[in-house]
Amino acid sequence: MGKGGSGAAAIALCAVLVLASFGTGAQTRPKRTGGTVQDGVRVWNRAPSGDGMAAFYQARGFPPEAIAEIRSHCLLTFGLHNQRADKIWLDLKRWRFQGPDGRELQRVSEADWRVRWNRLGLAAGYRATFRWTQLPEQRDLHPDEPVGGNLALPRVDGPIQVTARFATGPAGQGDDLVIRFEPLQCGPA
Amino acid sequence: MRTGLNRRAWLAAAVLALLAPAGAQAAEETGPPPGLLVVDPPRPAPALVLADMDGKTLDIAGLRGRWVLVHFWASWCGPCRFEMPTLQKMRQQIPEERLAMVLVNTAEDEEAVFAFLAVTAPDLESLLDPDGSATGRWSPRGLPGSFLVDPAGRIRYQALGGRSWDSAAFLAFLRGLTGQGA
Repeated sequence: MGKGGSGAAAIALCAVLVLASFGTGAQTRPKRTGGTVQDGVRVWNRAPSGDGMAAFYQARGFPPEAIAEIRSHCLLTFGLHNQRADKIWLDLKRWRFQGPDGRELQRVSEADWRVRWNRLGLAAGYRATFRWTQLPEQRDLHPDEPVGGNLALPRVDGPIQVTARFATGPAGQGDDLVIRFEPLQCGPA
Repeated sequence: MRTGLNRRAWLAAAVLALLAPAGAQAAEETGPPPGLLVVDPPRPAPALVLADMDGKTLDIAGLRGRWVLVHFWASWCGPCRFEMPTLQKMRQQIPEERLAMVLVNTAEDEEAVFAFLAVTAPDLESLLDPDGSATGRWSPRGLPGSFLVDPAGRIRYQALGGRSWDSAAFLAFLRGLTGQGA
């Protein structure tokens, strides 16, 4: 898996373990514990360090300029497991991120990343790997289905409040489910 | 006497012929195990023409006539580590001629693929999707992501994340689906 010295390999292993606990959209075996349950949805999150994130993508051969671009952001890792009997609808446009000064932080969307990768001329394989490590922009979550991945925000010093709204019901016409995550801080750059 | 035996033999054969497809139909009528989504209506499986680590190309279209499990994975994906051994164990229980299995690694190099499979499922081989375009076309719900494609080339089931393919429930379902019986 990792390339480079033992220190980088250890960081890479930690980063892999952070992402590995979710996969993407993956059901873990054995059953996951930890996090909190809000209205039937188990949620958890982490703020990996810049070194950890960099090591993960470096181990996958990402070029330095792509690593630098990734590191310049605050990447947060989220996991959700729908333990309800009905579907919920993940739509990252309905997530709100509030910085320590109360101002809204603008998430880097999949489309935004495409612009960045186009500017850097990043090869398709790296784009694919990056894409599959991100939280999907939009997805339904069936009962007992988990999903996990990263999302990127501007780097700030101080706690970030994250509030996520989910539509519910088979066609997303049910009452909104609102989940408030514990405040997060960007991992060390 | 001979006529009686022949009549009984024909009757037995007729009964068996009637029962044989019922296994597959029964599996579908009773529904898949939890974690397997019915794709309704079924949709044509996207193209999948990829090479394995020996450079040998597989075209999924050539597998028409039997069920195919298409499984997308990556070495960095934790649930993939749990699921891959279950695919190997399932492979040992359900023969290839009943259920073809096509593993597709998403956007990694041969070294990563080899290292991962050597530990998790040394008997299995994988196709490589180096630019991720095939994975994009199939659009699994995440990685790992699995699809069951019927003998006519239509996606009929999609897994919700990683599954234990060697569990009693999944083996029974797959045996029923592929007409293997209990």
